[in-house]
Amino acid sequence: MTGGSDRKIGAASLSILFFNLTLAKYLLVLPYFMVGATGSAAWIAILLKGLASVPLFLAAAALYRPYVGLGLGELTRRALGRPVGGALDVLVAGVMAVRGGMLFRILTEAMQTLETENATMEYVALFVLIPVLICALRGFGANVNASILILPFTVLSVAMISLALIPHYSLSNLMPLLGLGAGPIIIHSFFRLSGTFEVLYLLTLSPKAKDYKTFKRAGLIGIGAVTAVSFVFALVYCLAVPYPASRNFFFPLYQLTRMIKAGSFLQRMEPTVIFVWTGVIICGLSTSVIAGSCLLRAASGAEDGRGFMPMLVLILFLVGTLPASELDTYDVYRVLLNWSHYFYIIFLFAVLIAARLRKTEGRPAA
Amino acid sequence: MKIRDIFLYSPPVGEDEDFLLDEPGRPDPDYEPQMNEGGEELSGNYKKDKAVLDKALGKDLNGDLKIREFTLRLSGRNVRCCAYFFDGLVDKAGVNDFILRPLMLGSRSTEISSYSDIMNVLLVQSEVKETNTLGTLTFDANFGSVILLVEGLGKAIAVDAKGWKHRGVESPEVEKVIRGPNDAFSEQIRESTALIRHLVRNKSLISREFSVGAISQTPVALMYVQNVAGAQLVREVERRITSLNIDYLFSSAELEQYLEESSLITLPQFMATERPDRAARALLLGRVVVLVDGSPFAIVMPTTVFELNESAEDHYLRAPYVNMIRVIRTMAFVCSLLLPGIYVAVVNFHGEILPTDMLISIVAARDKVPFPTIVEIIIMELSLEIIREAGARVPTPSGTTLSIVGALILGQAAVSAGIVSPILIIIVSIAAIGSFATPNYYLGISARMLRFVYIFLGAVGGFLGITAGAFVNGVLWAGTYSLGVPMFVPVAPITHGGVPKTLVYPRIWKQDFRDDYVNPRRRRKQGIFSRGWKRDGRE
Repeated sequence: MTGGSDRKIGAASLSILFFNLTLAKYLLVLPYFMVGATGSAAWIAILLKGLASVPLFLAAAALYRPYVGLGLGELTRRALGRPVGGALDVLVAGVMAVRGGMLFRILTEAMQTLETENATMEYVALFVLIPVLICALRGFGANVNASILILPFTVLSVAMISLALIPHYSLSNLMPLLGLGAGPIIIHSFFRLSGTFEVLYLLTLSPKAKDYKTFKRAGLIGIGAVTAVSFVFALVYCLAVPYPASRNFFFPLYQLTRMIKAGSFLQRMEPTVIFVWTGVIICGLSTSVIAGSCLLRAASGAEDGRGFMPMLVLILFLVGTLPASELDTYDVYRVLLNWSHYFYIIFLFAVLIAARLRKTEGRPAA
Repeated sequence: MKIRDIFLYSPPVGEDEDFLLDEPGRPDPDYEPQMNEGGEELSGNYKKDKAVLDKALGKDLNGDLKIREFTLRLSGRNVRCCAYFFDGLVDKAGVNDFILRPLMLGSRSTEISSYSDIMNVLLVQSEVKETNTLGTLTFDANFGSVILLVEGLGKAIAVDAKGWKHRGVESPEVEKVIRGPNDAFSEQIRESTALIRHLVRNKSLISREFSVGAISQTPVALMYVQNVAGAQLVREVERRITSLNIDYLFSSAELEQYLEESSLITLPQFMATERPDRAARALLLGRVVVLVDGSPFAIVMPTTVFELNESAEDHYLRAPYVNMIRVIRTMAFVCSLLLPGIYVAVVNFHGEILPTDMLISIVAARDKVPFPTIVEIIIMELSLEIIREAGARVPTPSGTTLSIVGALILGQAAVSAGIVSPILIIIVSIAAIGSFATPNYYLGISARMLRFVYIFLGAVGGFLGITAGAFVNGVLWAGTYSLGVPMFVPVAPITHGGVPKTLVYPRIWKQDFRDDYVNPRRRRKQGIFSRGWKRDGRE
């Protein structure tokens, strides 16, 4: 009876991990992108985006059923052969690192604003990447536990922000109801399925799930919870900040917090939410590093994936330093979100269909 | 000379090194430690066996070994006997009245026809055993028995006559309560097990005993309720205890360190309690309790962070009171851990969150202080820790002096001298009081230690630094296990129905189930309608 990071986890824990992983993106940048694309109807688009992810996930999960105990990395290698599957695993791990790097850069930019203008990005990065590495090295169990511990604070902070901004709400900010039109809403909810990427994470980490049922429930609960929270947040953003002014805020969570007037006690609230969003992003990044190391382990056939973790953290940092400015970071991230999902969907279903056609042997989860 | 000799120390070579053992670790035949576990047996020859016992018990070395030779009358002839015991370990009056007197005089007034009559008729003690194993005899002699060697018996008799001076059952020192019982464990393992047995009163209560320590042979009791505690848990604790390969063990605090999984994590992984009621409750909830002879604390295992934040009184208070107190206690712990760090972060990086008036008053108060905030706060924290440490060591009569000196230095003189600002005194005091409000002593120490880390992180990274530290701390703590049970269970990982119960202390009649994470054999601990007098058992 010893503890370990290799223990199986239940649907609630796995869905919270998924929730944290996705929420980092949904809270930090998505409202900004969606407002830019759909105008005052961003909240509708986010709701539809969440709903559209459900059939996609269910289809992927149905095809994935025999392979839950295997994990996406191992499945790719078995289904497509070692050279092709391994290369694809490395590619997906690389894309995960690039996306993580962008998220990391967005966070460090915000932190630089909040902490001190004199702090360099490298200095701020220390406070983000060291915890990411430690969390990843401590293993999946510690990562899940950290996600669970952060969750109440995240939900509480979103709820508090939503309530504290009530004086700023104006229904006229939601008008016109369809924003820039039904076309952009449909395109950005049904054809830009950025949630696909998080499904890849879930498939990669599926061997940690107790069984297929747990895995499926975790996915559905996670998608539902993320959609609910991000819908509330987007609605608050649209209600409190009129369009087109809302298009100019890079970091909506930060901007919304700045608008809160907490009387004479706490004059500025935004430093107090550092705890929450940094925690959420660190958790998300360390999950990303763990998933990346699982893929690289599968690709290389190594017994332990922890050796890849420092390298993946270094890649996060290097990718984060690539964009010349914050604006460039958002642009790159927007392109990644808008277009990379086609690659994920093609990759995902190609692997799953190939595995089915070649009758690849799976492994039950429990 | 070898190259490594330039860098590494080598013992001097020459005649003046006689003080060094030529072969370190080789036993000195003249001073060989007496190991109790020897499998050597008595031969049955009185003279030889006496010589063996003399040597084994260290007749020539031990000043407190008493040997009384006498004869008893058996089947009409005189039989030589010898009694060995350690002065101070036995009840001397009992030895005289109930061992020596019956043997020397009783055997002459009562007809004794066989050796079995010695045990059956003469020795009226409750615990008497025959053995010829030398290891058992030496252990018993060192544990308050009188060893009787009787000519012709072929074995020795160990008669229990424990009678050393010890503390009785007193009130708890650390875990005081108002409404609960006020018994505390004592150093005597037998008294401690009896206190628990008195509360549980069930045949399912098992107390398995082990000797730990090759030399000290310290009795250790592993207690559990057979039809409640999970078999795997009991087996694991037993495995860990019996696998210990150590020379001595004096305290449950030492045993705790031998049994825990992560020795470098600041979080205590077992709960120590001096209260029999708390230990009994833990047993009935499916935990295992370990007692060590010589230690007035029982170890409860496994435990969780949330249990470490419980006080002994919680179970005796009504649910609304407990919930309020727990919130206060949690806030106290958070303050003791983070408040000084947050103060440094606010002053150095995030002054904008404070109202302007308050910020001005803080800046004005700091105006005369020549040091940066971090130096100022470290001076105060270190002074406080020194005073606290001195307070724990100082003799009681000097305690008042220490309090006055401490209060004057910390409270007044430091401010007047412009070394620290008044608001800092408040911050440090709240943090210190917060650590006292933490029910678990080790958890309080942990907060005191980590406070310095958070002060440093607050000074170099503001809230971001503190967040990074808190995250790493959370990850390390959340990845710690107590006998395979995650320390943050039932919240992280989530177990069925555990989260609400942890966040809000339920009313006593709704506490229907034992925690599932300890895999109890009996999940339900009270009936569906625990309050039978209510029509439906509920409100």
